[in-house]
Amino acid sequence: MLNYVFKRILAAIPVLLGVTLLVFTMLYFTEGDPARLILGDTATEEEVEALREELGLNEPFINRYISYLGGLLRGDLGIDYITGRPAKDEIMERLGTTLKLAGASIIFSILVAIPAGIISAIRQYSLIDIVTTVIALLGNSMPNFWLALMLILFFSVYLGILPASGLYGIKYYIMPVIGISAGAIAGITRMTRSSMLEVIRQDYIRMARIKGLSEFVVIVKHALKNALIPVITVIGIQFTVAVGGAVVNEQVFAIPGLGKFLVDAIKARNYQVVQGGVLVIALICSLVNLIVDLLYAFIDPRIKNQFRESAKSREKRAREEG
Amino acid sequence: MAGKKKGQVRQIWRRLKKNRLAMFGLVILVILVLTALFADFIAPYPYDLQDYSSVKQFPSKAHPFGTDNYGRDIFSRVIYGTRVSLQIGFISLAVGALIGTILGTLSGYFGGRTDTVIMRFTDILMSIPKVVLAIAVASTLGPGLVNAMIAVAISSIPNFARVARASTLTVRDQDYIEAAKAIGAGNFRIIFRHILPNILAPIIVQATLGVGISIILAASLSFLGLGVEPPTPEWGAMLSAARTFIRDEWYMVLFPGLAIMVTVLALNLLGDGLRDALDPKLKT
Repeated sequence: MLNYVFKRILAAIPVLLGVTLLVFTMLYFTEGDPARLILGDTATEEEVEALREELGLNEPFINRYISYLGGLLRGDLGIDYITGRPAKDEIMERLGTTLKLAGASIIFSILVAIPAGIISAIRQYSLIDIVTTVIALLGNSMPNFWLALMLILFFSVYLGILPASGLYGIKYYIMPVIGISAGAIAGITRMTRSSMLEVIRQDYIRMARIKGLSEFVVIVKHALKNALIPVITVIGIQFTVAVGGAVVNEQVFAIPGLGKFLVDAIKARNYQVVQGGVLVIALICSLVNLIVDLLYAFIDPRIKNQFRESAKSREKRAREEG
Repeated sequence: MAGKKKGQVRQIWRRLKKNRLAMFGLVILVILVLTALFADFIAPYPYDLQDYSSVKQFPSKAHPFGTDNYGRDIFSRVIYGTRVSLQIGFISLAVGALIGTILGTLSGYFGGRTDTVIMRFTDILMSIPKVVLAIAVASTLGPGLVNAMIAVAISSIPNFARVARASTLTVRDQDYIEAAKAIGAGNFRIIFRHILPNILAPIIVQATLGVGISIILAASLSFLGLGVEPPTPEWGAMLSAARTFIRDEWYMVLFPGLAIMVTVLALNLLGDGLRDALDPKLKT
């Protein structure tokens, strides 16, 4: 087990480094001279050149990447060209909002989708199964920002019971969270349903029924545990999707989170902030996926065994070869 | 060989025909493609015709979906939007599918270090939300239609790479590959003549579902103002422009979104049906 954890964390390092390289390369090829953007139009050519030298912008790619990495380790994400403040401060001020939205959406989708998928599976082809399937299909086919607009139309414009913009309390979360969750709910429901269908046809479930256990115990104690294993892996991916959803929905609901900030920053050509934000989002999503993967191994003993076996066979091969 | 292929296709088609939802999706899709091709004949007005005497008109006989704040006919714009959205969806997906499939096949076929490098690369792309990746691309290349398509294409690479890799792994060790190797076929020939045709089925399914995802992603980018520029009748851009008028002119935000939903729904129904038809074992 510890071996697996160690190996999985080790595998995450090149991915994280890769993300920094990708973002840095984008930054490197972005049009516009950062020194010029910092100093503004009034600065002379000499002043710009002096700042370029000072910032190390005249160094070759590899040197700049290394110093960029060094900066990252110190928490330096560049400069906001507009306010002149460190990009890190601007990003961190807004990151919480976006994560709260994405987190709330993931929790909401799990709470809705897993029961829906289970009921759908144990009552296959019933009315409730059909309704669930149709809703999941529609949820998968709608852009989340349009669903959000439709919610505003109904709950804010028509009924007038929910606020359509900002984020000042629980009430303000309802529509953005539904909008962001729709895709995840559809995905997790389908996954739970098919996984559950597969499990409840297996012999050990039939055995449990024959033993005379109540249907509730069979489903909750025996089937659920195995059925939920594949579901957990999609939750990590769905978190990444939810962060993307939050970025778009912040625009719909005028929520001052990182997503809205990044979109505004692109339009203002405030590129260091954009790339800093992209990097932070990518790092967080990688970490969440890493945690989900570890959790998955913790829950599913087959993964542990698989690793143990492969480690053993590797040793054997090494012995044979040596 | 050709005869066998034809028989397979016919069998898949027979299975697909029995799936009513998939056929429904296919019919809608055909209608949408025809709409895109013949938009000039179907749309009652040019998409950019501004008529300031009939601004923000409620849906009526003359304007089935109403008119927008410039007096443009929303129905005509939605019709022309079919052309734009389908184009973006199909082209960007085709590019992403091609690159992803080649990477995935190489990864599965060669294994070892090639596999590790390519898979880590897809891990990197997958760790960034698609919209955020597109934002990053837009920040490097600048906003606009072509750049949005590049962003959408890049974001669809990892899915195809994974599917192609997994399928390649299942056919790689089969006898006919072994036989091809034995008679001295090169890696290039084996991959393109023997592996690719045999892993096509899951890739076609992925592509059908992927076009829908690409259309939604492109619409999201336009909605954020990073995709298609306003005068072009693209559904996401139309929604972005209509958003301000949601309080009184609900029809301006309703119809472009419905168009996206119907299109993606048709693709999803067809994709699900294709998956079942190509691999009946998977059907639950």
